[in-house]
Amino acid sequence: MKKISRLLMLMMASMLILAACSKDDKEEGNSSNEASEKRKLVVSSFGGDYEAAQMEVLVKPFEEEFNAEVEVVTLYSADALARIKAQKGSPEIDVVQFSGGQEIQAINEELVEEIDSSIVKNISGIYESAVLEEGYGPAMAFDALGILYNIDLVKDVPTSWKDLWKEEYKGNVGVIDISNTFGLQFLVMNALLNEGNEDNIDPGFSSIETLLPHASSIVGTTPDLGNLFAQEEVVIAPYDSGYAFNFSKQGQPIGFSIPEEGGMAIFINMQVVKGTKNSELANEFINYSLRPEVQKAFAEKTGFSPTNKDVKISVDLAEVIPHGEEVMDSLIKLDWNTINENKAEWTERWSKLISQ
Amino acid sequence: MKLKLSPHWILLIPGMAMMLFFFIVPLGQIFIISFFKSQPDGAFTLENYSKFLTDSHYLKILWRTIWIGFVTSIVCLVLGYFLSYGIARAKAKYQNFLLLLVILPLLTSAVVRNFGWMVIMGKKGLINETLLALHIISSPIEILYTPLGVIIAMTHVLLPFMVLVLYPILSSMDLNIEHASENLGASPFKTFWLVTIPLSLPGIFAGTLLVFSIAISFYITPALIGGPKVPVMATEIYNQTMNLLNWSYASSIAVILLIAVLLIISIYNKMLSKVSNQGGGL
Repeated sequence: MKKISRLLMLMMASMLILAACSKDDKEEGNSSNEASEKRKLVVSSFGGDYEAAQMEVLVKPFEEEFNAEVEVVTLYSADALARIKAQKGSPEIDVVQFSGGQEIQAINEELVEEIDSSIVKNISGIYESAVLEEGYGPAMAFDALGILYNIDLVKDVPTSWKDLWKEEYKGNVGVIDISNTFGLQFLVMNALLNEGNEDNIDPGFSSIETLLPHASSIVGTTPDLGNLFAQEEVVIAPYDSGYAFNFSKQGQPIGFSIPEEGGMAIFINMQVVKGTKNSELANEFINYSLRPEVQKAFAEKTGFSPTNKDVKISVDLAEVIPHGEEVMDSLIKLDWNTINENKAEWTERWSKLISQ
Repeated sequence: MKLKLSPHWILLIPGMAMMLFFFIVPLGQIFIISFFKSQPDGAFTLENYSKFLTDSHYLKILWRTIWIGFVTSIVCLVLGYFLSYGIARAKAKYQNFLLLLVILPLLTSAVVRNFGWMVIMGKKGLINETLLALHIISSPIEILYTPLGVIIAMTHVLLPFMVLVLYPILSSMDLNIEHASENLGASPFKTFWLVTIPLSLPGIFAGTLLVFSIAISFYITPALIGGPKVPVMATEIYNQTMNLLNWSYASSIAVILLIAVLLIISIYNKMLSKVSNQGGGL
C-alpha cells in the first residue's frame, strides 16, 4: 500500500512537471529548401457538397497553376477557430475559412494575419462592403439568412419573420440552436425586431420564448435540419439561402425567401493563419478564390453568391439566390464584437431556456 | 536510498510510460487549466468550480448524465445477461456465429448507427408509424431529442460490450454446480437466482462498470439523438471548448465529471464487495 501511494505521488509530481513544460514542445521547422518540390498548403473547408465544390473549382485548378499540393481539412468555422487557437504559434493550417463572424475574434486574438496586398490584387474587383475588416481577407462569397420552407406544405410564401409564429405551422417550426451561427443570428434578429439590439438582447429572448411552443425541435446542425425537413417534421425554419439551394438540389421541396424586415448577411471569408510558413502561397490561394471565374463556378455549384463585381451568374441561379451588390448591402450586418463578448452569457441563458 | 525494482515493475514500464505521456500528462494539464481564468490575464481562480456547483442548470446536466448512464447500464445488463446466457447455453457450433452477430454492430461507426436511429425515432419514423398503425397511440410520441431516445440508442451501441464481458464468465461456468443445485431440489429459477447469478457477479460488476463509464462520457449519441435540449457533460464540454472557447470552464467540467465517476465507482465497488465476498475487486 505504502509503495503504491509513493508511486502515485511520484506520478503526480512528474505529471505536474511535464504538464508545466510540455507547452512548447511542438515540433519546429519545415524543410523549405527544395525549390523543385511541390509547395504545400493546408486549407480548412466545411465538408459536404461545399467542400466538394471547392475541391473542384478552387483547389484542383490552383494546385495545377501553382504547382502546389493543397490539403483540405474539414472544419466548421467554430471548430476551425478552436483549432487555430490551440495551435497558436505553430499552426498546422495555413488558410482558414469562416462563415459566422469568427474572423473578428480571430483578428482580436491575433490568430490570423493581414493579407499581402501586393499578392491579393483581385481584392480591387470585389464589392466594397465585402471587405469585412480592413487589411484582412475579404468575403469571397455571401448568402443570406432568411426563411426556408417546404414549398408543398407552406402555401403562402413567407414574407415576414413573423410568419414563423403563424398558427398553421405550430409544431412544425425549426428553431435553430444558438451553437449554430444561424441560431445566434436569429436570436439577434428577434431582438432587432422587438426594439432591442446586440447590446439589449432581452427582447430577443422573450421573442424566442414565444416561438418555442411552436417548435418541432431545437435544431443543432445542418444535417439535423435536412433530416427534419425530409421527414416533414419541420416545414419552416430560419436558415440560409446557401443550404436552401443545397437541399433543393438534393431533391427536397425547399424554397427560400428573404423577409421584408430584412435578411441577415452571412459572409464567407478566408484568412491567413498567423505564423504560417507558407504565407506567400496562402495569399495566392485567397487571391485565387476572388477570381471571377472561380467565384462563378463556385456559385453555380453551391448557391453562395459571388462578391466579385465582374461575375454574372446564370439566369436560373439568379432566380433562386440573393445576389448582387445592392442585395448584399441591404442585408443586415451584425456587431460581432458585441456578440462575441456576450456569447457565453447568451449561450447559458439559451441553454437554460430550452433544456428539459 | 536504495531503489529495489522487482522484475514485474520493469514489465510495467512501457505501458506506464504510454499512460503517463498520453493520459496522465494531458489530464494533468486539464486539471491545471481548470484553476485559471481563460481570459484575459489567466489568474488563479476557483470561479469555474463554484459556478458549476452553485448553478442548478449545470448540476442538472451532471445529474442527467449520471442518470442516463445508470439506466443504460441497467438495461444493458438485463438484455446483455439474457443474451450472453442464451449464447453460452447454445450448441457449441452456433456460439461463435451468435457472438459474431452481437459484435457486428461494432463494425459500423457509431455515427452511422445513430443516424439510423434518428430516422427510426422521428415523428414520422418507423416507431411512431407502427404504433399509430396499430392504434396504440393516437398522436406521435416524442422519442428523438429526448433522454429516452438517448437511452435507447446508447443501449444499442453499448450492448455488445456487456455481452463481451458476460459471455466468457457464463460460458466457462461449471454446469455441474447448477446440476447439483437441481439435484438437491431447487427449482430452475432458484438455481438461476442463487447459483448462476452469484457466480457471474464479477462479470456483472465489470460489465456494468464498463458500460456506465462509456455511457457517461459518450458524446456522439447525446449530441445527435439528444440534441441541444438534452445537454450532458460531454456535449457541454464540447460546447464550452469549441463554441465558446472557454477552455478553463470546459476543463473544470471534465474534472468534476471525473471526480463524480470515481466516487460512484468506489461506492459501487464497496457495495458489491459486501454482496459477494470474492468482491468485484478493482
